[in-house]
Amino acid sequence: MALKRDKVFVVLLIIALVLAGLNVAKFKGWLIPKQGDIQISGNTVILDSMTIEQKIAQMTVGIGIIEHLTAYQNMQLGGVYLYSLGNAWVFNNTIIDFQYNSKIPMFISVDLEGCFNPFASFQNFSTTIETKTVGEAFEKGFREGEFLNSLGVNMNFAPVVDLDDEIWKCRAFPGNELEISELAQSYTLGLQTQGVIATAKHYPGKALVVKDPHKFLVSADIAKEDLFPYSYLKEKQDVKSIMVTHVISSGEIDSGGVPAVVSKKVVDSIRKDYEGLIITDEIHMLGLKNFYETIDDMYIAVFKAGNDVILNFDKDPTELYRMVTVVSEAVRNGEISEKQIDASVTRVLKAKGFEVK
Amino acid sequence: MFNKKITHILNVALILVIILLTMNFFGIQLPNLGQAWYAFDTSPHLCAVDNNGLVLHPDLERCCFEARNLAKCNQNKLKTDLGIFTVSCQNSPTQPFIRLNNKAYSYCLNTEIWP
Repeated sequence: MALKRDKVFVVLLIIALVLAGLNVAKFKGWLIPKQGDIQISGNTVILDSMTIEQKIAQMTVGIGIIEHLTAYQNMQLGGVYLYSLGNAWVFNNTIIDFQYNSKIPMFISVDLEGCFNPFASFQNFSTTIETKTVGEAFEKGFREGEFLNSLGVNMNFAPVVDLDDEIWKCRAFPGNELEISELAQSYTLGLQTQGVIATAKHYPGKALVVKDPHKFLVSADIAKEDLFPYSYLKEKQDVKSIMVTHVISSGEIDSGGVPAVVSKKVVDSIRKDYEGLIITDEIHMLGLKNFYETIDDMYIAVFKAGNDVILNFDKDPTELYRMVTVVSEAVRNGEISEKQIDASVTRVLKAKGFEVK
Repeated sequence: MFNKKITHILNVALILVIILLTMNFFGIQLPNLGQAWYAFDTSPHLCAVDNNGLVLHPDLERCCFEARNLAKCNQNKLKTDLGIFTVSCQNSPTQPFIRLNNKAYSYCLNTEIWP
């Protein structure tokens, strides 16, 4: 009897240890299969050597938690977004860890808008609202770009070109739509001079407006003025990316009752005269998933709309991999056009400095 | 190996551990006491930006995201006309920061983006 009890104990202990190991492996992303090598000849990526999974992963930006490193490298994820990490040393080392062994370098992205500063514990910048002249805007972009570049950050989700910031009161440039556009253009030039991609946001506008403080903002009536900064920046052909938000838009740009980020009409309105990257806002915000029966439908919708880069900051890297497989399947069964995915991956790879064949 | 009583206790404990590890592996979460309290809390979610005056954020999930973006969150009680805020998140004392009540903070902790 005693021997049987001991045997049960040993068996239970082994099961517990195996399960603990599996949980660690899941958390670390060791269960995510490693993708094959992508052929790169000189500086040219051979697109046909990429699987659909690799293409979808390249279009995805995840959260930059160092524990996800193996998962992201196995998937060959397109980039990471960094929250505030404390000090320059931690930022620098985290970025080195993510870039090390990445055959295709990752986008390393942050939100540095001056007012919203993830580096505030060791580096101060002026706020956007304090920036009054194009000279100051250029210098702000230049200094921030220089700083970001020194850390290894290559993508900044700024400038904000919303005409009003009623929430933070410091993230938007001052002035009318023309002045805001000129300041944003100068900031963009300064930032991109330092090799950091600028992102004009949040298309189509009014993302920082308080409509009813007791209700979630889900809709906005977009006026011509809201769109002006985007047409101005697109015409100048400098800004390398534009971020689309989740607001349901009406007026000048009608998203047809769905959030702008999943509206093909809205995304196409950017694409018609723009060859840069179109980036989604983080896909778990503003109840985007509530518009779909399943989260898989939401994943498919954000890719299907024509976005090039999808921000999915899910804390579980296996969920990111699940998204990659779900969307890949949708491409295989024709729900999403492979041609469209190829065009998006090409834009992503070109933004990373590659030629694509 | 051990006496009868200890072996029994260990076996029961291991069974519980196995159940929890299996649930965690398959992503099944048990509601904890905090979440039960959250379910009974009928107060509204309050998440506001404090930049020389409080402004309620119209999008709770974005507010969670922006709070998560900041370096740290601390218990910091503040009674206002809008309600009682209990947590504040900030990068540095000179920067604008985010205030949340317990209900909003619990909500944020359970979102996909909050590790």
